[in-house]
Amino acid sequence: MNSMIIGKYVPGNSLIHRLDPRTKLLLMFIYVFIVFLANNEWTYGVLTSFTCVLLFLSRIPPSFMIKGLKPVLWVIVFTFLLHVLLTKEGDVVFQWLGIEVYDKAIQQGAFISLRFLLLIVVTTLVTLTTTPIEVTDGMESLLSPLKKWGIPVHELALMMSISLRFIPTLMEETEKIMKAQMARGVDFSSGPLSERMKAMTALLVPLFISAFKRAEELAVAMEVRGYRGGNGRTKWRELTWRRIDTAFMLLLGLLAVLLWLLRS
Amino acid sequence: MEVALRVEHISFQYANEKTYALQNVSFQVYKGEWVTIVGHNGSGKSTLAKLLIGLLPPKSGTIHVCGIPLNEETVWDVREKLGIVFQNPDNQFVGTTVQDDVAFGLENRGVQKNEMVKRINEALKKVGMENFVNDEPHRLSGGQKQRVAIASAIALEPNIIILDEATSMLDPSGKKEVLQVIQSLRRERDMTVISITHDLNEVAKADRVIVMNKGKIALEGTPKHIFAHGSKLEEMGLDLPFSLQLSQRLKENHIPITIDHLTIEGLVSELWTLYSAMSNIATK
Repeated sequence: MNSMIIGKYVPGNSLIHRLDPRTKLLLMFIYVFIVFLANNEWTYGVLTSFTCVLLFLSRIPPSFMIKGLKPVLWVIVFTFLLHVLLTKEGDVVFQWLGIEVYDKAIQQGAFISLRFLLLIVVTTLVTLTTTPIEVTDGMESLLSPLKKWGIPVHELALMMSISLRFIPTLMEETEKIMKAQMARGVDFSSGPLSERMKAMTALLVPLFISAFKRAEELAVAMEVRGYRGGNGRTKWRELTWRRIDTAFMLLLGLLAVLLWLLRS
Repeated sequence: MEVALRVEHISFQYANEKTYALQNVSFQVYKGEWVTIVGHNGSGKSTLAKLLIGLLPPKSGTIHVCGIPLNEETVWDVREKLGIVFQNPDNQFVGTTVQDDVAFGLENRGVQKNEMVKRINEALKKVGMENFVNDEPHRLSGGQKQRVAIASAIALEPNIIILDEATSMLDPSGKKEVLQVIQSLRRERDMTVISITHDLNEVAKADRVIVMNKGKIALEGTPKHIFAHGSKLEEMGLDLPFSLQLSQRLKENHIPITIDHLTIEGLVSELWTLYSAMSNIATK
């Protein structure tokens, strides 16, 4: 169960792994927008090659990438088919059982699915090369200007990192409670859905009670170690923006300009 | 001798409860001393711990920590003097990795980065966890987690370290690990230790023992002095250490044991030398 959420990160020491998490988050964010600039063969070509270079630099084994893409593959295929069947522009390429397929439709379908694929590849790439705690640190740093408007950025980041820290603990606890309840005759895995839902209460109630208890004890432990909110706190994990990060951002800017010039 | 902690006439009563959880409790702990506060469930020892760290205000009486009177204004100053290790190893692990957890307290105090590096390394070395800096808590055993908790406490350089049932959720080897770390810390740093426990086995190593019962101090003295009241301790719901019980039974059965042993090691060494001593007499 652990691998589901945290195991996504693939340890490594590639160029992409070593980038500042802020760079990667910005990269992801900006990429999502510039993907929509592409609208012809040239622009899609540029985008695809850029993404392939990123993939290559990350040294992530392709098998990991494919595994990550599997669940969305159907969505991509479905999008493609939908476009092929419903768009009626250009010339008819072939006819089959009374369905007419147009050339523009195929092109459109391919573009849209490619766009989708590229988006998913890049976001997966970022999660595969960045530890959750780095993502948290990056978010905190990027969102820190929002503090001026009273948004508790530090608290949100701390909440996130504590949640990450407690995921394995609560997973373990869930397993323990499940076993304890199964030993008492609760059946989690068979019977009609309504029965199984009912059985879940035997799991969720003790889990919630214990989580609240943990939260209280944790709060005391934090207070005793001098936690009084974000003011006057120093940071152990410091993010360092290096030349390579600036270079990456410039590259991204270049990509955006290129796409703007090449689009029709 | 310098007084590290002075508790004077404190009483406490929980809301909705008729009886006092603590009633006119007074004691002192000197600098460098190891004092164990022992009592069964409901004796008031956990309440006492909560009062000492300022989580609950006493109904009456005063607490001085290193000369600072504990009240609402000084609670944060007082907490700087104290390092506390709680019972549940998981629920006091704040950081995502060992080093993050030790860093947490330092971050709160606004310690600069280079000083942090130094203190984290030192503290982890002291508890023998220097090879686990990047480990996540779910990969550590209970004893290891408690040692990290001790490291987190000592990194803040407290004057007094309080162990609030810190070993009660650990297996025997985990208990041993934690107590050994505490002992070596005391040797090296002259740390004042207050351990709160229900386990009389942990009492043997303390300089002084305070036995709590029904919210009052029932007995106070050296471990030997305390164990001389064997039956009285049992009446208060405490289990005597196995070595002590065995020594007593052996004596009852006319085996010539010299003293009531507080540690297994002591009893074992007397027993195996006893046999040769007796056979020596027999051959003579």
